[in-house]
Amino acid sequence: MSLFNKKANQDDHIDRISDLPSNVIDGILEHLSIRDLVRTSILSTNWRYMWTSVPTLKFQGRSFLPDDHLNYPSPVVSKIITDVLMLHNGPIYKFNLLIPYGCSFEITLECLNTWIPFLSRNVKHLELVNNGTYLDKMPYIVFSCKELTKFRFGGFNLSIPPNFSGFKRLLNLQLQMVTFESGALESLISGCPLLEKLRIEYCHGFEYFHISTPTLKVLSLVFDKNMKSICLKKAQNLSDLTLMANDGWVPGLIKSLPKNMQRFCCIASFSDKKNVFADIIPPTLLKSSFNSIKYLRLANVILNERRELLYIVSVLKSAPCLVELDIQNYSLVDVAQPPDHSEELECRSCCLNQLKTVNIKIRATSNQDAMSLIRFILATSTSLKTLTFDVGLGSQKLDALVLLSISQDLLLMKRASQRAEVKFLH
Amino acid sequence: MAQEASSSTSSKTISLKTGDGEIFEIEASAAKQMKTVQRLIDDLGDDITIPLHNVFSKELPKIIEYYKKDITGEITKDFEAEFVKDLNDDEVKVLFLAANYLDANKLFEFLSQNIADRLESKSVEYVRKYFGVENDFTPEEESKLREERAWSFRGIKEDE
Repeated sequence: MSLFNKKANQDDHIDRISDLPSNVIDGILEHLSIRDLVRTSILSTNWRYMWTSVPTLKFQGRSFLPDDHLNYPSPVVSKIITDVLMLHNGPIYKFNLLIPYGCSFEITLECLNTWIPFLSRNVKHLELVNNGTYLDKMPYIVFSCKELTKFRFGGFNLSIPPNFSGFKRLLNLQLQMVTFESGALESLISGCPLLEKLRIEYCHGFEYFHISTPTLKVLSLVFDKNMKSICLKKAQNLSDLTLMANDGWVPGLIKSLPKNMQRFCCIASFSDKKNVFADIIPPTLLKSSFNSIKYLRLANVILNERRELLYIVSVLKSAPCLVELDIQNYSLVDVAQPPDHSEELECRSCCLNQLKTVNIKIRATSNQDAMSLIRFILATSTSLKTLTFDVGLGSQKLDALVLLSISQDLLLMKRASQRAEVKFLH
Repeated sequence: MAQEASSSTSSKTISLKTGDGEIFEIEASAAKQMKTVQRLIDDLGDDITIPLHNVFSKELPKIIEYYKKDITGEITKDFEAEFVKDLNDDEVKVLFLAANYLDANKLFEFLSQNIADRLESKSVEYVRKYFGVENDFTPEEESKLREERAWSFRGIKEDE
């Protein structure tokens, strides 16, 4: 069909959103908060049921229950959700129920037994997050949602039904503040043969985290002092790993790391414990697991001890592909040692030739030791583009003379990369 | 001119003519992201100026700006925030309708979200005007609906 001679046809020009086909209008409606969405029923008689076929329902946070609604009695909140589900028409692919902090409503077994049947046939994305309570068991009916590709839940107690046939299409699983009955986590994960992304934060009831899911690519784990062992070498495709100790690191916790890691974030929570990096990642693991790392982030590892600095240097030497390095230290632990500058960090035999971006962010008081590390990095990184040194964390500020002397030192440091830009923030 | 047809698509530019007669150039790789434009290229060839009857010189440059960033992979949240920062609700609507006409999916998705954000807690009258809807409820029908859905009517912002 030749369009060459087609005249400008005014009928083609749609200038009112209301004239668009409903699947196009759905594009906007899907992003509206539930209250805005339901309110469209009053725009006109044509629009009365437009909202009922939008396949996304999000009852979340303050867009569902604004501050003055937080104390709605539970039966009222339940009824709102039930009414919406009953009026809804057509498949629901995405359903979120996230109870905001401060709200007295709790998602109970009874609620879920009423609502899940509306969803189980089609729902692909499901998020159910209770506000902090660990007591109620996740009802078995949730496990009948066979089409799930993304599942997030929190504030429940998890036990797996005996006839659980798995979430065969699940790609993304996120658990927060969940208490696992014995073996529940392992059963859940082994029922997800396609799982690619897993996030477990602030959960209880598991001491061993040994995973062998071959499809897993991204893992984020926040654990407490009850964790005894983390073993990841069987997760062959795991390339993005975040580990955060919520209560200080236990030495020897990590038994093995994935072989082909590309992104690694190792975070200790802001605490009064001293987190020694050499205890967290022993030297044997460095040799086998850091070969492919491109992005490394370390938060709250001590910088102001010589052996720690040396260890970080050996980490950098074990990561020849490293492109970006991020170090942050909010920790209050100040080891009272006089700064030891008598030996420069050995850099003759070293060349960090992929490293392009470095960010170091610390409290003002640890600046001396960070400077040794920066000197080493500048002298060995032949491709460095930007190094940002921020001493602004914490309330203690350095005085102007010290800041000036740091600036001057930074300018004078030898650079392996002529185009390296050094930014000093305070 | 025609002899350079063998050069790679990425360096070729396409000429677009708006409904009000102005001509703009875009890279062929950006044109690929707008399915309507690509269909017209497939029908008419890439040496001819493509007529876009329903897109005008006010909005096309903005759309071109978006896809210029897209082909270099530089679209970030910051860029998108800047992109719509100085636009009023009606300007965003015009861009949205143009993105729909051009079948420019990425821009369409982004603008859908932006419109939804702008409409948050807006009054019923505002939304009616924005969507181009005439109210045909009787006052009784309307007040009955408002009562049934009272929970969704709290916290509406006043129109400016």
